[in-house]
Amino acid sequence: MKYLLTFLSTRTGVPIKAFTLVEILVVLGLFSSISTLVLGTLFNAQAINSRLQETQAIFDNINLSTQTITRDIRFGSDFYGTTTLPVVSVPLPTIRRSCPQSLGGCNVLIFKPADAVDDRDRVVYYVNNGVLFKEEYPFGSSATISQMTAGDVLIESLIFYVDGAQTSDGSNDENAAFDYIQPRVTLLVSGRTNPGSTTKSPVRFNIQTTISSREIDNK
Amino acid sequence: MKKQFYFFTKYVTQGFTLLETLASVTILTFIVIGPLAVIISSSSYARQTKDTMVATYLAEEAIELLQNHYDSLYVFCKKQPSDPLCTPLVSLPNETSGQIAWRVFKQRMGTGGGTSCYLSENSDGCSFDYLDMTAPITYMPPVRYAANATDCSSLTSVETIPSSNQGGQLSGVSFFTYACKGVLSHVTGTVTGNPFTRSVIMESLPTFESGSFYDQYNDDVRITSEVTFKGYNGLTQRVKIVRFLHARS
Repeated sequence: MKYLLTFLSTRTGVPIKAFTLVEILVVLGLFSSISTLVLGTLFNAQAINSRLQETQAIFDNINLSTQTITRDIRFGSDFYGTTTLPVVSVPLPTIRRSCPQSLGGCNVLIFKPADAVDDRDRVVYYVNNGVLFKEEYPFGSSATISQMTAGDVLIESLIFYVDGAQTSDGSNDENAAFDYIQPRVTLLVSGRTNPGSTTKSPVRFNIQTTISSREIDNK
Repeated sequence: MKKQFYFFTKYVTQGFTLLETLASVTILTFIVIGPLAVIISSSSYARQTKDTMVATYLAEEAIELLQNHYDSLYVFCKKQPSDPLCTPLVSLPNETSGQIAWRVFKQRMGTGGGTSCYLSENSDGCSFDYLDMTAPITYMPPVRYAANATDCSSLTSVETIPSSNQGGQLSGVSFFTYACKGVLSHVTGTVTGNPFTRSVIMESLPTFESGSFYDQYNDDVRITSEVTFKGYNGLTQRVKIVRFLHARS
């Protein structure tokens, strides 16, 4: 090696200066410790990023479901709040029933959808075992059940405060009650994300919004 | 000692200069801080997504409550035209129930009905929660508070654990409502989570009519509902929703 360096320097006329062993060792040591540090950070970043993406996807799902309910309620009519889960073989009530906050609200909401063909077509929203369901009952046909939230969301509580569902003359109401106000539904959804891995901590959410029916009631 | 010193002078002939050391330390700092900053910012961004979603629904709620109040007045005045509620101070000939309800609605939301929500009368706007707006409409105008007053300057998440099965809600499973933090009768449970601030500003936009906006019925009312909350980076985040209301015929 020494001969090679001497040879090169004499041939080219340029003195060659190389790193010493200590310099190389120090540089390698520094380089490896920094790489370990930076790589660790990067792997950590990747893990956090994948978790965030999962959380983001879950919240997109919750948002979409809530948007769907609010839009359906906004353009729906003939609201019936209840606490009894629908049974597929039993026809749904086609009358009205308020379920105000003062009485604790309801957790099943039945109403006539905007795209109803028959006056007795109904849609139901409810939660069962932490999953939000929508059931569509076209009058005289069998129900279509759709799952609105994926398995990575756990809906712990779904409450509807229904006011003003009655007509102004008490007709078509379960208790022959009447009111002169426009139907209004306050929706409370709370739950948490249910991430795939147990090492990932869940994120909680509590949503509240109120929807006023667009179609004028009591015409 | 002498021997040791000799060992170092034999091999280490030149050290780093101060400038080199500074440059390398700076580069190293950037290498480590860069990815860390990215992690922290993306983490807070994702957590903020949830709060932004909640804030959007709360902002929408305020507008829906006002829309519902007008529509309820419309239904009421159509069915009960002789009720004192549906006889505004100035009566105009051939007014429809929609127009009467529109004027009653505007008067109720102004200084005549409590804290005004109009920008021209109250530059800060007003605030209220869903419980204020669910009082019977014939009783009195819905209660509002100045947006910066302590009554309702923040909406807080109230946790309620029902002791028995309440309206289908299972006992032991908490549910959460957002209510005015300063109105004790509305805060009936444990206060939890990050508070949201909600203010509502109404503006009357005249078309071709003149005179007091209370007496016009072809104008539009612009409702701006703004919800703010503290982001995880400490900065205030804002969600603003604007909607226009117009008198029904």
